[in-house]
Amino acid sequence: MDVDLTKREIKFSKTLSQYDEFVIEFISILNSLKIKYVIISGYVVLLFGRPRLTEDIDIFLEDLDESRLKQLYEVLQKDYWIMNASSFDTAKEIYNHKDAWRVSKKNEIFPNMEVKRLKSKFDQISLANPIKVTLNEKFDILISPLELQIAYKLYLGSSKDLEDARYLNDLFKDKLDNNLLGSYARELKIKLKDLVS
Amino acid sequence: MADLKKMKKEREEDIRQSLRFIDTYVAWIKQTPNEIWSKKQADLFRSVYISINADWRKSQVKSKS
Repeated sequence: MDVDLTKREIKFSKTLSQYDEFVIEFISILNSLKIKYVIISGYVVLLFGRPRLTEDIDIFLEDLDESRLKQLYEVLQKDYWIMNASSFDTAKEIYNHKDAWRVSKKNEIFPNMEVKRLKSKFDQISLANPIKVTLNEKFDILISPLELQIAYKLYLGSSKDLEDARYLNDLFKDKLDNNLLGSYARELKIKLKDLVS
Repeated sequence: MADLKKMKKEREEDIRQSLRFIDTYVAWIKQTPNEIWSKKQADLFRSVYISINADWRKSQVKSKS
């Protein structure tokens, strides 16, 4: 794995999983519509090899006005279904309430994309400072900064989240910006003790 | 009466053990070529993908009939 977090880049090759293929296809739509996004949470650990399952992949999109939202909705209609919205009006209502769209390929339910709006300051930081992961010298995927992922997972605090935080920290510990990790930890009022035995 | 103190200690120990397993797994990932771990991971995910979606499609057919 070629990791250069100072340049905010990670490049490596792997056999693509079903999750990877789903993500690559979905973000190609966002790229074609010039919609900024960042992927956070569970998929980030799966991308780097953790063999755990998740039914949904969490993605933040930049705020969209109604015409761009409709454009996205209409493009998705071709190959995807929005599970919790059967019309644009419902989809718009969900969006305006800052709830998430659940999007899957047609005739499938797993995996699905949880398309989220930015809510907190940390969501904004993720979108503004992504890390570009290049798979197989071909596919670029933008993910949340690892230091923020680790701190946020510790903040969430379930067993699964603690394991994810530990996984990312173990895998990238020589490359992480510990000052940045510390500052997120202080802001989220969490301790970093679960990152080491 | 449940011994909540004991249960809390046991839960903490469970978490410690699962975190130690993560350390072991990451050590394995680091020393294993990408094509090997990623193939195993992709195989695992593909089998779940096929199984869940097949079950779901069946349930959709049933609910329509």
